[in-house]
Amino acid sequence: MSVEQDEMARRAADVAREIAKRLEPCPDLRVQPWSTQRDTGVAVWLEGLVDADKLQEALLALRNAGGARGRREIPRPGVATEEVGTISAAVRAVLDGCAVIARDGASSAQAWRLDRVPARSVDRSENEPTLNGPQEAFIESLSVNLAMVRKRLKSPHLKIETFTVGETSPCEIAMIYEEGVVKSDLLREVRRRIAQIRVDYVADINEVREFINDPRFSVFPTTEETERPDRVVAGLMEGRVAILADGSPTCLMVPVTFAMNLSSPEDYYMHYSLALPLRLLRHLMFWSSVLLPALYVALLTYNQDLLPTPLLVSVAAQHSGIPFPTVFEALGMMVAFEALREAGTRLPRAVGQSVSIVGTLVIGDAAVRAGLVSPGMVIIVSATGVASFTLPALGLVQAARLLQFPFVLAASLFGLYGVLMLGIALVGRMASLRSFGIPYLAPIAPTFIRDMKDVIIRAPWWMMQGRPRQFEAVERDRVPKGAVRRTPPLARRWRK
Amino acid sequence: MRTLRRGHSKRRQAISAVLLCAALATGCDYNDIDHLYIATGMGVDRATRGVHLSVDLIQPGGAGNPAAGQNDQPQGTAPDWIVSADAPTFEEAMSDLQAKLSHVLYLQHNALVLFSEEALRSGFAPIADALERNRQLRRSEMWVVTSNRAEAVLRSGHGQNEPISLMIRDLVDEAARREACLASDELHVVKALLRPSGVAPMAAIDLGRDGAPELAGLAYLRRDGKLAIVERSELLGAAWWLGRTLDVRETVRWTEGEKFVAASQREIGVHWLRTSTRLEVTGTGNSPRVRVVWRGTGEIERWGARTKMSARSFAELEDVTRRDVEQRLQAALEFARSVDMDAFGLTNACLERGVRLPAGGWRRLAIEYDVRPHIVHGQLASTTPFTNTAEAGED
Repeated sequence: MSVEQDEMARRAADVAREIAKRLEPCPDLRVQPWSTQRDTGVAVWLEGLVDADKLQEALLALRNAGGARGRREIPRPGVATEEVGTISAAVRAVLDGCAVIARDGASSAQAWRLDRVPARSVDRSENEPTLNGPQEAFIESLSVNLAMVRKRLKSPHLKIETFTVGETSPCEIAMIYEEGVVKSDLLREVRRRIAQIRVDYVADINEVREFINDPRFSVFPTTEETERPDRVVAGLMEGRVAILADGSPTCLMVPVTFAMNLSSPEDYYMHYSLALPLRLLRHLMFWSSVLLPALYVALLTYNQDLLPTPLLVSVAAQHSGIPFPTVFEALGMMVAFEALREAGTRLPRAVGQSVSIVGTLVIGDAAVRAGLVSPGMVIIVSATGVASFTLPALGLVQAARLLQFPFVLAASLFGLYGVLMLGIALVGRMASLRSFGIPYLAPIAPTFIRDMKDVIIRAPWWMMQGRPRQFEAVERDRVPKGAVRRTPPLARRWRK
Repeated sequence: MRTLRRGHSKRRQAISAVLLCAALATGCDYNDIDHLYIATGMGVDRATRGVHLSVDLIQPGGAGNPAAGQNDQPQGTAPDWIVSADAPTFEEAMSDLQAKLSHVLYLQHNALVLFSEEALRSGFAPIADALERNRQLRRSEMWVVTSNRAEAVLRSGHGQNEPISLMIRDLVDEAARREACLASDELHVVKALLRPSGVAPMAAIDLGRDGAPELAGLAYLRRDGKLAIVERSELLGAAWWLGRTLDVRETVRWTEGEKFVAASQREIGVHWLRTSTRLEVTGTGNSPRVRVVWRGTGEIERWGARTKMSARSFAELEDVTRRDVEQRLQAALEFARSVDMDAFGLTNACLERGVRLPAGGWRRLAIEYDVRPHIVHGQLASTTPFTNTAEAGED
């Protein structure tokens, strides 16, 4: 489009016609002439995106003000306005939910922000529910999400930088960090990666994630996804960076380590002694969700000698009469379980729950009674599913879901040896991963002894005065040294 | 830099190739559980033309199998079945057994090898050699002797809800918990056979009056296949010689009252919570002496005497008990001498002290007994209205 064509016409009707021409067919485009004692013009907006009542009030105020004051420029009606000097800018403003007010004879128009974009209210977190602690979750509005972060972190050092991503449909991306805490190299890298995103539109933050991810082909999440503002604030105070996108209720936190994916916000909202068994359980459950079907297949097809004799007798009895080899039985059950899980997720909640219950109870029982699968296999696949549900990070759950299939194949081809080899390869791959320069297995490999107090165990808050060393925060201590007493005196000693 | 990368690449390729080959090699062991006949026990008998082997195979759909359920299978179906074969050698018998089976005979869960006395006497060495060579068999499998036919014992398991071999293994395991010498797994038996004494203790079982297997006693097996069985009633002395015991009971006869004057025999039940025995060799090479150090802690379970318990009666009881233990130890040694089997490893003990005994020298060794019973919890001994005292109408 040439510059001449993009220039604002002198006649308001021509401006409206040009906007309509660019957007047509566009039945929801509205054009309304307005006039004052001195001026005439048109207002152009998209129905549904603009609050019609507010617009009419503003136009009325414009007519009154224009007549009274007799000014040549368009008076501002008490709403956020922006000058638009080209047709393209005017079209963008219309699409952005503004009403474009063009005046005859003017070389520019005004965009009045009267948007009434549909949005849901702040609600409880559905993907990361906790029993204790804050409950609210992000929504699809960037401004609301930023406000939720600001509400929790009332710091003058909280900085928000915005980027516009999307060639066809621009989307606002916000990068949030705590100045003076976060390492400048990390900020530079995040800025660079966001700036390099080339996409026509951003449907969800996942697109941003895939563009800025460290390894392009890894199933492990190297960015943390959360919908909880409290988790975001905790991350910011550790020297990490949060990324929010307009239209997405999810926030990305970078960098992230494997151990962080296994910690839940709830670990910090209950007594620290409970975090140890829960985190141990999650570690165990992660490996169970990856390895359990594979170990079962390996034990039943290659390494039967490792089973205790009574268990082998029981398993052999269960398996007698099953028409499929163990590996096909396992793969079939795993696929069926994934199908049930997918159905339960996609369907409306009430129906989804019914599908899950019907699937597990009725179909599973019927399959066992029909002799298609053994009860042991049903137990193993169900236990694997339950194990994956204990993981707090959705990305890790999905990784586990994917990884169990190659492990089963390795077990069916090479037995425990195959499982072991693939396990070594997997751990090797995890050790080689980086999340914005931070080793994925930190603080275990490489070892940061000081950071160990928040990996398997969760030390009491009064012991965690320093920020995690692995993120190389500029300000290493959360509070100045000496400000926190390790053993706060709770009672006076008895005098003898 | 390029050379370095090429070197890394070659190394990576070599490692991948080795891992792939190793992985592919493991694929040869593929055997789905459906295609296995899992043996839990094996019986070895003498046959007219060599060895008669019987294997106890799991029947997955059998009764008592938790997974089979009660409705899926007809009641009375045994949890296992026995397959037998005769052959001149052990290996050929195994081949014959496999020829009778439609799936692979899987021996890695074999928990029991039951030898008949005849089989051992007619040629233990080739059987032991075959068992030792077989890589599928675990060294933890139990070696047990029966004076009956092994196949008959294995076939006696009607009405059981678990394979007969596992039942026998549990039976012996439970007995070995009390008398450690009965823990006759292959590793220990072979180890004992290869020591200078050349005698290994093994559990002996037989069919009881109800036709079910039961513990018959302790067998001494010599490397040349010679076998002697200690009856269950005489087991305690041998068990004490051979190591620790837990939770065993001894009935001690106590002569109450002044000797020869109104003396009467009473029975005291002693429950030995724990006993231990060790051998100490003293003396020079020419005249070694073996000291049997016996220590035991027990409690009185039954007080059949009329005398009230007191410090004096307690001391007397300990003395009587000491003599009883000594007598049992002596009797066990006499039996071993009578069958010419160094069952208690006297030769081994001397050799460990650097004393090399001549052939049969263990029989002439001087033995000292250092027996110290320690009775505790005497006050917990209870009397009931059915004790001798009550019968007599006394309190």
